[in-house]
Amino acid sequence: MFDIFNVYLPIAQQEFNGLILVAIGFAVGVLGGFFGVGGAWVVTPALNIFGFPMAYAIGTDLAHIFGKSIVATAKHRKMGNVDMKLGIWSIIGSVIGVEAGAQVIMWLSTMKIAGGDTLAGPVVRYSYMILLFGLGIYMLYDYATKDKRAAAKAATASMGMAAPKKAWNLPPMMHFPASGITISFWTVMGVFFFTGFLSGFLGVGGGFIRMPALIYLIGCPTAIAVGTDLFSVLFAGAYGCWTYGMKGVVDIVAAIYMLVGASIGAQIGVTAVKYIRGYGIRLLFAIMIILAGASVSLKQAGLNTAAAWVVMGAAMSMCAIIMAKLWAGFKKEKAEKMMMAHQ
Amino acid sequence: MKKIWVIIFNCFLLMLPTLAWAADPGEKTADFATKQVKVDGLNAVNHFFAASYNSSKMTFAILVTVIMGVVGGIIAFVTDRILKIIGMDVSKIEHHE
Repeated sequence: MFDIFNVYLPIAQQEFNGLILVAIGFAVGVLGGFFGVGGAWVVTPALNIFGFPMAYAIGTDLAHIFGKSIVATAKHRKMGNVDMKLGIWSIIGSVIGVEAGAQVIMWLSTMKIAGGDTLAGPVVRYSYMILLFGLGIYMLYDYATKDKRAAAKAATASMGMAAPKKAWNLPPMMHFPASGITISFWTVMGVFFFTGFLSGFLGVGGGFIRMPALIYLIGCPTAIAVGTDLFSVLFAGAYGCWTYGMKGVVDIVAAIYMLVGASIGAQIGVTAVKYIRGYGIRLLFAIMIILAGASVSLKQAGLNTAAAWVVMGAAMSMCAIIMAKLWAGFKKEKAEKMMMAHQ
Repeated sequence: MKKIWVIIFNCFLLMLPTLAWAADPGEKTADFATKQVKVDGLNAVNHFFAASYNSSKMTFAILVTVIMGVVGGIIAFVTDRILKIIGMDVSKIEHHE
């Protein structure tokens, strides 16, 4: 029935359903625009489920991530959510960190374990699981205790006591007007080196690590963390698109179909940021990465198909929640505008 | 002008971490550098893409990067207009945690 949507992919040299490509692009576009991540960890298993030729999956995914990031970053910039200065520092720090992480992986790859495998594989898989679950649980805890902390802060302020100063004020200090923060250069470089290191070590794009780091370690407002992270993803995506194109593993037709879906999805995801408060974004992100962690655990147990369905199911559900929240926020705003007009 | 140099410099820096991007460690991409795809019987658009792929991977890489950027930009512009028409316009927002 859906065969009428089949398109010929000239580089992969096979037919594939165009509707599936647009749908996957759309779902990842919504998530990417909303959370500020590239979403390669969702796209690759999703393409795998539907039988996309895997040799072309990563390159095609990165090509569409580049196009999608342009859409999402432009829109976030319009909303004042991109701190360009911080974004540029994040790229510089991350690149150095990625190289260091990759070097550690090369070193681990030289160490053999029982069965002829190297130490790198299991170390990376378990680190990945610990990071996803740890980050997700911490963000859930942060969400659950936010009212308690706000009350304690208000009590401190009402007693006329100054809020405790941040411990790391080692000069030179850097000011980021868009984020409204002044922070030590060493903290900025240290944090981005660390997130870059994890990215290089785990072999992932790193958007899902950088976004919470911008919030919890740098102190950015959530919406600015999302926009600034996408700015970094844009540059990484551009390079990924080019280098995988050089290797001949990008199916350009599939990438265009995915980009059409992703660009529309990204507009929706970014617009939703306007209607959901910072802590709401953090809560949804926490749930998403815990489910991604569950998917990695299933993969570790050898249940590859179940793992792919879990991550794709989570992505589709999250996508539906974001769109429902957007619609509710939009209706509310429209009603408020009408009330204002009648008064 | 300064912004352009910043962008070029960042692109240069980003050339370093190729090993680590988006793949499992140790996962190797098959060598497609010399691969040729068939061009006979393809429609005009597919023929163009396949011919570029066969002629030079460098040309193909530039083509892919430019097309992704341009298509992304065009769709961003069009969907932005559509969202504006239905009243879902965005401007600078207040940041509430």
